[in-house]
This record gives sequence, structure tokens and C-alpha cells, in this order.
Amino acid sequence: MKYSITVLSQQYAVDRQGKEQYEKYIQRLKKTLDDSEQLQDIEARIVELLAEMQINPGDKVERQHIINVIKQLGGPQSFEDRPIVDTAQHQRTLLMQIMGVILGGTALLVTIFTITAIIGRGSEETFPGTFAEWIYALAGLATILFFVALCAVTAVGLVKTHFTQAKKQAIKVLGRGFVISFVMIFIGALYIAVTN
Amino acid sequence: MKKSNNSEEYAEQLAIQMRKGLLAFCVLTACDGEPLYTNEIVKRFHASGMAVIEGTIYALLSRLQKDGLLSHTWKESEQGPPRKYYQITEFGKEVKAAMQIHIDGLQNTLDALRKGVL
Repeated sequence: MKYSITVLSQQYAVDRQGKEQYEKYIQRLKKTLDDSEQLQDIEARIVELLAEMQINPGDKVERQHIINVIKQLGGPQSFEDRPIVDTAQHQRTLLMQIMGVILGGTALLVTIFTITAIIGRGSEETFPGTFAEWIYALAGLATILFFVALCAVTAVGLVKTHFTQAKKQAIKVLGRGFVISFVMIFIGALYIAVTN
Repeated sequence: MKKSNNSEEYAEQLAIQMRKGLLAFCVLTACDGEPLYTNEIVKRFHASGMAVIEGTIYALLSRLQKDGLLSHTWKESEQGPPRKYYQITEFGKEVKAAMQIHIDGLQNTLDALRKGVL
């Protein structure tokens, strides 16, 4: 069976192993790159490298040629635009941010419950009332402070992430945080509306 | 593993980190003139004694372009498919000039340290 690969609209004959290897490489590059024009540029370079090996469109490409092209260009990991920071530390920062927004959202929800409970007290009731109510009010205050602190930690983390060039990740984390917080607020508001 | 090997590996890791930081400056310097395509940039680096993997350059060119430090144009090639040529922008020139001050400062510090002035 005859196999072929298409590199920037140019067809080359290839054996099965070579085809598999090339396609695997290109697939991994596609996952790594976020710009199709960049892939086009790389494919243009592959055509050029093959031409340097005296292989023109329509000619047979041996597996070794593909290995040489990959060696020249570098593995898919070399195409990654990694920030110049410790990856493990970066991961930890991101984890902290995600935890921050989740806990922040939870804290906000509890805060809403607390404030609603205080506002919703009957006029005949005095405030503060029982010991339990005092605890309830203090818990509300602590929750608000907790929420503010978490927001600050999250903001600092996001700024740090931004300055380590991982803007996309920062936007993702921010997006997740907003979604989680809004969903929790919505659930809380819905609960209050139903119970009242 | 021998101690000498460890020191070599350690130095190699430090050199990799250093190269990463300097690579952007080198790309800006290479593209500050006539427009170049990736292979020409790599060839210039090799000619200057700086070993780089082409893939690293693609990623860096993409980032510098996104950040507005480089611009590109596609040009037809006699040897094959069109090539993407990169050139430094005004903003890129400003960044390069600012980086040059930092590098010069670092060079002066290193020279002074070697001479035992500091």
C-alpha cells in the first residue's frame, strides 16, 4: 500500500512508519501552537529542509528523513512558549489561585446568608440577642474578612501570573473565579428567594 | 556521578536559563535591520556561536510578535513555499534599547567583579 504526506499542499510519498511519525509530530505541534499561521511557517520550513536533502514534492521520503527534520526543528516541547519560572512553583501558584477563588466564592455565599439573616430579623427582636446569635454575627464578620483576604491573595497571584507571561492562564483562572462566584451567589439568592 | 560532571551540568543549567533570557534580545538584534525569516535568524545565531533549537525560535518569534515587538510579512521564495519574514517594530526597538542598558550594566558589574573592584 502506498502512503503519502501533505506538507503545505505539497505531496510526498512515504512509508507507513514515516507517515505515522510525521503525522504524530504535526498533531503534537498543533496542540502546542496556538496560531495556525505559525504551523504554516513551520511546514514551509519542513519543505525547505526536505529540499536541502534533495527531496522534492512527489519524491519518496524515508523515515530517516523525517527523523532528521524533527531533529533539526526540535521536539514539540521545544515549541512551547514556557515562561522563565520554576514550573512547579508556577503550578502551585495557579493551584493557590483556584483554591482562592473557590473559597472566596464560598465565603461570599456564607456572607450573603449571614447579612440576609441579620437584615431579615423581626423588629421586635433585639440585636445582639442570644449567645448563638452573637456567634452567628461574629462568624459573618470573620467570613467577610476571610473573603477580602482571599480576594487579595487571588489578585496578587493573578498579577504574578500576568508578569510571568502566562496571560492566558491568568485569564482562565479569573474566568473560573468569576463563574464559580456568580454560580454560588445565584444559588444563594435563589435559596433566599425560595425560603422567604 | 563525578563531581566534575555535576559542576558541568550545573553550569549548563545556568547557561540554559541565561540563554532563555538573552534569546529575546538576540532575536530583536538580529531582526533590527533587513527582514529575516526563521532559518536566517537561526543561521545568524549559529554563525555567532549561539546554539539554538529552531523550535525555540518559532515559539519566541510568535510571542514577540504577539507582544508587538516584531512584525511579519510573507514573501515568495524561489526555492519553495512563501516565507514569513520578521522585522523589529518601533516598540521592539524601544524594548531592545532598554534591554541594552540592562545588559551593559550587567557587563560592567561582571567586569568590575573580575577585576576585584567591587
